[in-house]
Amino acid sequence: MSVLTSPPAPRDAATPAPRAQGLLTRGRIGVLLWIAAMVVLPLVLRSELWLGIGILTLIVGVGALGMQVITGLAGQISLGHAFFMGIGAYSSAWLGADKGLPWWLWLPAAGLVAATAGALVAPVAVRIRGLYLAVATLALVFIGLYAWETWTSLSGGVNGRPAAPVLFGDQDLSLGIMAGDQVILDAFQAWWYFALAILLVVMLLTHNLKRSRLGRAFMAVRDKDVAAAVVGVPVTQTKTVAFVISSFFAGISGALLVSYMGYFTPSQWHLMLSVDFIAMIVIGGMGTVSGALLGALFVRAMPEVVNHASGFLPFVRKGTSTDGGITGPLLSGFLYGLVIVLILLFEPNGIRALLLRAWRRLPAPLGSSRERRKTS
Amino acid sequence: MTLFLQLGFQGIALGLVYGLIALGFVIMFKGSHTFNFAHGQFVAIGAYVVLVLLPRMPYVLAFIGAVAITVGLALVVERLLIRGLIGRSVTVVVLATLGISTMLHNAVLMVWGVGSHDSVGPVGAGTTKVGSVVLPNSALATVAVSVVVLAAVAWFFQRTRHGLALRATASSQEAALAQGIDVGRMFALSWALAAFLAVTASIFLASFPRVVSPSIGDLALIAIPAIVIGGMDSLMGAVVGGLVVGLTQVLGSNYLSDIGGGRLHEVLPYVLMLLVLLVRPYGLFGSRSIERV
Amino acid sequence: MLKKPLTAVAVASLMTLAACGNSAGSGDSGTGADGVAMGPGVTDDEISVTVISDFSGPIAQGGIAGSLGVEAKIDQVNREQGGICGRKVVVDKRDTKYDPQITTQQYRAAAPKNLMVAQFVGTAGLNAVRANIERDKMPTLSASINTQTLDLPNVYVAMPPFEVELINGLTWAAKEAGASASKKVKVGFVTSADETGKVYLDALNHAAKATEGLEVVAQPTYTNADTDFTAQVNSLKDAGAEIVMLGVTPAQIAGIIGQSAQFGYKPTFVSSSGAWASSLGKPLKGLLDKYYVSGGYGTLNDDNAGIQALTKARKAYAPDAKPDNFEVGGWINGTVVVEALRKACEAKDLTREGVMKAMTGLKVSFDDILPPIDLGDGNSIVSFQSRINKIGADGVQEPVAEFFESEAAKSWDAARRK
Repeated sequence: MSVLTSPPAPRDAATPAPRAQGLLTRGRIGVLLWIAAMVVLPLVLRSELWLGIGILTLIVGVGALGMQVITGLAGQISLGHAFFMGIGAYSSAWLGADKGLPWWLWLPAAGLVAATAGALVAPVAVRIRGLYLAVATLALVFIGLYAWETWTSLSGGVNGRPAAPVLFGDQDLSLGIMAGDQVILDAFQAWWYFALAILLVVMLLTHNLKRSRLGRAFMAVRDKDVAAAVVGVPVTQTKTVAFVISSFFAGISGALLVSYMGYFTPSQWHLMLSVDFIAMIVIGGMGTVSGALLGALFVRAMPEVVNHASGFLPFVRKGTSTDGGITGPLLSGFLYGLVIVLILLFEPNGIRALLLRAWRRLPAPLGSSRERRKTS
Repeated sequence: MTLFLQLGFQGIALGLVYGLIALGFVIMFKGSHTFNFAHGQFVAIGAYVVLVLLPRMPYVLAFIGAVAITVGLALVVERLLIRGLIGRSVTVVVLATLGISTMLHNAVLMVWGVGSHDSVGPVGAGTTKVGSVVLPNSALATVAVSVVVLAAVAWFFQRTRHGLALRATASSQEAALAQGIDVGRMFALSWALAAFLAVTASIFLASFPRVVSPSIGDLALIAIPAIVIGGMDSLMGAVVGGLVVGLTQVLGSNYLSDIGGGRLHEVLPYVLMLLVLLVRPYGLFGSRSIERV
Repeated sequence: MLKKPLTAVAVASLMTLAACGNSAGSGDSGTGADGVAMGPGVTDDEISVTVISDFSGPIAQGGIAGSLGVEAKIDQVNREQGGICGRKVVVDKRDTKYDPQITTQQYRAAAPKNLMVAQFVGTAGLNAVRANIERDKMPTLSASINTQTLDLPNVYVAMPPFEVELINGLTWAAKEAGASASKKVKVGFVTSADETGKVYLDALNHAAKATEGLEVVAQPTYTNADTDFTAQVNSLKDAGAEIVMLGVTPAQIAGIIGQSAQFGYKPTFVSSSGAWASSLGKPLKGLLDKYYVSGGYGTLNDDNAGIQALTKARKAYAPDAKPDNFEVGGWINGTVVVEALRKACEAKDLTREGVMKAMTGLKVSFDDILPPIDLGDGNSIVSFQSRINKIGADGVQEPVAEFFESEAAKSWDAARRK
């Protein structure tokens, strides 16, 4: 089958045409710089709040890449991400905490179970599209919530259950890594590097997937599935694979998330979690690896930034009160919604495009500090 | 038997409220091709405005005032935040309305606080007895008003110029444009109508013994399975879907209370919705073409 | 595609994170100038405690009011006594939005900077960080007043749990109804269809068995999605329950009591204190003459030294806040924090271990807001006393009897601990 002789016309402004760039060719410097920064950050960053946000960003980044595969690349909107994350989480907890398997078994297994669930759902999901797919996957979330809360021997019911620990030998990652009495990495740093390592693997997978024939088939289906079928892309099969891969990443992300938290309840696999993931990829930039990560950072960090900033805003009520008023938490919720809408309206390609534009304007490295501050 | 009739009546009353909300969804979907996840927040805002106006004026005026304010707000949101997204992908529009929902929800909390308030139904706590079945007046009013409003909406779509224009826009925006229909105005019209239905639903959703509280916005999301069951572009389907969901919840809370942990009726609307999608993706009453959106 | 944007992410995240990162935590312990051993959050002039609560999510009403109670108490101690141990007490408030993920983030950020959790609101969130609380040896006062949280390591419940309130309520209602071996009284229980509901149900069934003349005839459940209670009310009515115990939240009270009235069903309703919110007084006006609240602590309308102090303190601290009875619960936790810190200071040990040692066997009196409590070993119920209130004008609770304890509550606890 000959997939795509010419790039399809982008149907949606939010999905830029693919550009030919290799991870290890032209993008090398950027990637290396990013990795270097990610390695140095936990050593210099001294705020537990921001370390925690950073770790959660890395963990949900894995899930955001899964979202990117199904929605950004294959163009299938899914509100069911929370459901697949939940499956990964419960699989990992059962295998890791109840059965005592090591993390290098329960982590991939969590992905595989979620992927299997994705494969089971796919035959229905590939038959419908657009809004119908959105609401069908929304139904999955609610059915999942019911299943978790009712299957108490697995989930512990509404009170939740412990997650699988990440153990290296007899060292628990959540206690930090020690050599004798010497602390090598504290708990935050240890989890940061662990999550970063997993994320890098998933990034590489996603990147290569995008460049592969399968990735091009995804985008062909996204841009016009009838046309894709005409040029020989097996549409149903392609969509199914996209679902499976996306669910795999979601499962991994869910397993990591609960392992980091240590204990989890059914209520957290709620619709809002799915919404956060859609927000991540659309806000960050559809169809790209960096967009997913930028979006993850935005979603995790934005409420805290506003919370901090609101301390300096004169119109924000300092205390909290049950009878209303503009308080920090409410303002951050409001602005979260507003920024999503504004980005959709004014920068269809997301923060990634915004940053790219700012970056291109940098005349020389020396004069860059002023511009850089703007982007942060 | 009495209990069955009792539950059935309550289920129908609740289902008609869902039907009103679902109808708003469907009209917006037909008129502007937007599936508005923020619709529940308009329901909440309608209830709060009625609550604020009630002590100051007669009920009818408070209702009209709430309709005016909610419709105004809906028009502003549509014009400023939604109109610019015409032609963008489903993902983008869905996320935008979810973003708007978050904004409005937090705005409601800022203005009215996090607590619960009084009921705002048009009739009080009284009841009417028919045989051995007790019909709460609030439920009777819900049924009566819903039927009238639904008939009016049907008439509007079948018989008025604007209604016909809206239907034309729904079936094809290009064709409507060619006929000289102002599509932008149709967008606004559909949002205004939906906001009116939201306020109507809100006074029944917050009828005795239910009260006005921030959770009303989330409560309204149960209309989503109703719409899918009925068919996203079918006015009739919205009402039938609403009834299915309302009856499922109320009958289920009694007859299914011993199985599935006593919570089966909570998830059943979503299961039904998935089943409908499986065998008839365009819903019980929807048109086949909608599948391709 | 990974090229420039990623570099930009790196720079952007470095700058934002580093900019916010200068608030380094003081996890190190040490000894102060006054010879007091100092744990996390303690310096020579400050003791920082955290309140982890929902300030903007679905249970924000209780979360905000409860926090206000803690803040008012601490503010009072700072103003009138210059703090504790010569140090100002600071309250570090953290919003969880009732989301376990955000709770984890906030708890972990707060832990190194604070000596203890003065109040933790949100059962799911508390469960989410229970392992951390254990590991951090973090003394934590829970606002979820039930035995499920009491059983968690290092978690304290400074009030009688809801189960005790319900048991006492049932024994009181049974006595009022004249239940005896010769006069059977039918009772019904309404609880949620989950584990929490099951715990309440177990407690109530124990009480029904332990009390002479009670017959349990109906036990309908509800879910959070229920807005119509026709089924539940009719099952109670058809079974002829004369006393209905409500193990519910404020979201269900109006529906259950309101629909009961519509169906011409008028049993005696008794709920725990967590089920009533004063805002429900308006919609249920005229329907509450047979509804009672069994409360483990008093209300803002009581006239005693404790409530007077609370009223004065809240006037000074937050004069424009709307009164809410959850403030009393917060005030109680705040008082326990203050007493624990004082005792720890006397022992010159303001570390977490020191605070926990101080809390062991700590007896606190609240100037008649509720009878004195005994924190015991931290895993035992602090008091079996509760008081029956009815609802007066504006939805406020008014006592109909003095605080009392029931044998049923004690025997239930003994059975539970086995």
